[in-house]
This record gives sequence, structure tokens and C-alpha cells, in this order.
Amino acid sequence: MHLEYPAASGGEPLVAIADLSLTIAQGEFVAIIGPSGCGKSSLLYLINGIAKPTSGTISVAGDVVTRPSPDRALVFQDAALLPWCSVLTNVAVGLQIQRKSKSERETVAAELIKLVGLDGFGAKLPHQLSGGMKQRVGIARALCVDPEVLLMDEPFGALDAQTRQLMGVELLRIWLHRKKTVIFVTHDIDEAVFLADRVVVMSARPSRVIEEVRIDLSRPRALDIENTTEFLQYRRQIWDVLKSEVTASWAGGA
Amino acid sequence: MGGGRVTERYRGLIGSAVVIALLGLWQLVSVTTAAGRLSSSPVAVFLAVPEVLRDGLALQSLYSLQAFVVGMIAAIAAGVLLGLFLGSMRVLTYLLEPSLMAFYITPTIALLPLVVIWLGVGNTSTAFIVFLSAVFPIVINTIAGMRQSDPAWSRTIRAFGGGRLLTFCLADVPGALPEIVLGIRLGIGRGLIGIIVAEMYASSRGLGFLLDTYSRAYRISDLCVVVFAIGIVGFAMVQGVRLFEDRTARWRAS
Repeated sequence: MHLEYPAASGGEPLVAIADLSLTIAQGEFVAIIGPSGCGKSSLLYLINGIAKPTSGTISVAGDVVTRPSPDRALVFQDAALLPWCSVLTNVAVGLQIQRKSKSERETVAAELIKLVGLDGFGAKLPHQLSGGMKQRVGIARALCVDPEVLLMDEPFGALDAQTRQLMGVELLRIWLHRKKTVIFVTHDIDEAVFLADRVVVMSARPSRVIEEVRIDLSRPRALDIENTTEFLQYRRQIWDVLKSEVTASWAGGA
Repeated sequence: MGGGRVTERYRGLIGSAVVIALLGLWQLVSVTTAAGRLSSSPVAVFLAVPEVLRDGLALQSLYSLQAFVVGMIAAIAAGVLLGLFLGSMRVLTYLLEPSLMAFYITPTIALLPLVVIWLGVGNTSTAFIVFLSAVFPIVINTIAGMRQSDPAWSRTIRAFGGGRLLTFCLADVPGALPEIVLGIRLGIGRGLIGIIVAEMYASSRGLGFLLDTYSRAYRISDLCVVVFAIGIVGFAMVQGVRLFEDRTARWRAS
């Protein structure tokens, strides 16, 4: 797979992703980690279909991706809720796009609001919620369309450290309820190791996969797992690979 | 800000007190100085009300209101549709915005002589002047609302499989709604000026015509009754729209 963005004026096109190949099993939780600006978000947009690869293909369950589909639901870094819609309407927006009946939308959305722990907040507007709550709404909205794959674009990146850890625990709890394939983009090694079955390390632009680390930590995982020797070993292993790439990305002006 | 909250609670009361104080001052000046002979006084205006009612204030108001409502409905329909259409096509906006801006800035009442030549004296002309006065603020503000819309909103709709129409209905229009209502409020203010001036010069009925009649006869107190009537009706209309505006802009609060 290959993705180029056309150059602004006459120069070389910006190669965001070069020759990247990645296979993900059904139900697997994969974390993608890499230096900032390495095209991690672009990768998710390609899988969703909202961006198109310059060359190469993406297939999900044997079907080639040609356009965005709720089957590959995105959770955005900035939550991207519709600010004039209630929490309930925001969660149900995917079903609204699929022209599902109002009663069906509300039933399914109410169930997911409960699952993400926002019971009683259905009538609130986004500006009345905290950052963590907004992201829960974003996750509920993505799960609401019952997707094959959940694409998460640094969903906790804008949250403070404690909220971020709690959201990780929360996400694993939700994931146990709805066994989805998850592709989780992050730049936080701890977060990646804590959440994932496999951590994929990407290089600086043009990005390739430079390392894949299988995380054999037993589930369910609790926060104190971060102090175990295995966890620290995984963390060091990934940092060793990532270090040089981060330096390269710094040198490249990222 | 405890003091601020108290001030907020008595906002209406404070505003009304100032109006009463101003009326008192006017009465005082009219009794004690020679200006009274040229400007009437609150008491004289109050006493003139029955006379103006006998002259058909209610009927003339109804007549003005009819032309105003017809012109406003046409302006809202045309202004919002045109604004949404132009706002969703960047190139068209660039092509037409300078002309629209010129019309917005020009007092369209200046076109009255031309409108009378086209449409004659009567309510067709006055309704058309209302339309011309109100339509440009509505178009301009609708376009501005569309432009302010956050790309994240439409991206969300697209990522969940929504096409152009759904993106327009679920993201673009609701995002622009506060500006659309603002445009309508400004349009109402301009339309009121339009109807009165148009009736003064190009009609033999309506409140503007009544004003003109009283002015020619030096019936200053009667004239003031009409001015007050216009002011009260205009104030009520603008306040009504403002309430609706606050509701549509509730999500902007942060």
C-alpha cells in the first residue's frame, strides 16, 4: 500500500506512506505506534475509506475498500461530535445515516450510552461534557453501527494522564463486551502495550512497518500490570526501535 | 461575579426604568421650554391615542403588516436558499460575494423610485422593498454561517458513510443555523425601515402613509403615536427572533 499527497506547488509529492503491508486478524487489538507525523492517522483514514491510497489496496473480510463505511467506524482524536446534537443523537448518527427508524436508533444508542458509562447524560449537549466523556460518546457512536473494525485515532491523546489511563481500562472493559477488531493509533508506548495484543511500530515518513511486537500479557489487564517486569521489557523493546525513528523525525522537522 | 448576576436578574426592570426616566425628562423639557410646541410631550401623545385609533391605526397597521409579512417570507425563503446554495460552492461564493456585499451595504431603499416605476404605487411595491431590504443580510449571514462550519462535522458524516446530501442536511445546515437566524433578525430590522419609508413615498395606505399625512398636517402628537406603535411592534418582533436565536445558538455556549 502506498499513499502520496500531491505537492502544493511543483515540488515533490509528499509520500506519507510507502510500501506498507499489514495483516490484522479478526477480533485482534492492534496498536500502531510511531513518531508524530508518520502517517498513522492517514492509515486509519485509508482503512475507513475517507482517504484513497495512491496505489495498493485495503481489504476487510475479503472486500476491497472503495468508500467510507460504518463497517470500519472511526473514533477521532478530537471526538468530532456534532455540537448542536444531544449525546443520544450524536451516538445514533451512524444509524441515522443508515436511515434506521427513530425508535430503533434510540434503543441501540441508549444501550451503548449505558455501556460507556454515560447513563443519564443522553440529553446533554457536548459542551456540557468533559474531554473524557466526549471521547466515550465518540466510542459509543462508533460502536453504535456495530462495525467489523473499530479505528481509533489517538482517541485519548488530548486527555490528561490520569483520565487517559482510566479510559484505557474502560476501553478494555468495553472491548470485552463487544469483541471487535481494534486498530488503535497512539504515540504513547505504555498505552500501546497496556491495550494491545500486538504493537506495530512505524517509521518516520515515508512510513513503513519496522517492528511488530506480540504482547503476551494475560487478560483482563488491570493498571498495576504496568509495574510488572514483562510490561517493562515490552516497553524497553519498543522504545529501542522507536528511539532512532523519533530522532529521524525530529531531524526532518516534525 | 455576584454583582453581575444581580444586575442580570433585574435587566428588564433596569431597562424599563430608563425608558420611564427618559419619558419623564421629555415631559419636563416640553413643559418648561419652548421646544414643547414642536415636539409634543408624553402626556399629549397619550391623549392623542383615541384620535389616532379613530383615524384607523389598527387597519393601517394590518395593511402594513400584510405587505411586511409577504416581503419578509419571500426574503427568508430566497435568502436562505440562495445562501445555502452559494455557501456550499466555494467558487460561486467567490464570484458573487462582492456583488452581494455591495447590495448589502447600499441602502436598498435608494431603489424605491425605480421600484415605483416598475411596480407602481401600492402594496406590491412596498412588499418588494421589504424583500430587497431584508434579503441581503440573510444571504450574507447564511454564507458566513456555512463558511464557519467545522470540517470535522462533515468529515464525521462522511466517515459513517453519508453522501453529499446527508452531509449537507446533518452537518452544514445545522451548523449554520445560528447565523441564518441572525441574518433573519437583521433582515427584520431593515425590512421595518423599508416598509415605513416605502409607504411614505409610494402608498396611500399603511403606517408610513399615516405618518406622512400627520406630518403634512403638523399633527405632531398623532405622528408620535404612530412612531411609538411602530417601535413597539418592531421591538416585539426582534425580541421574538432573539429568543429563538438564543435557542439555536445554545450549543455555542462553552
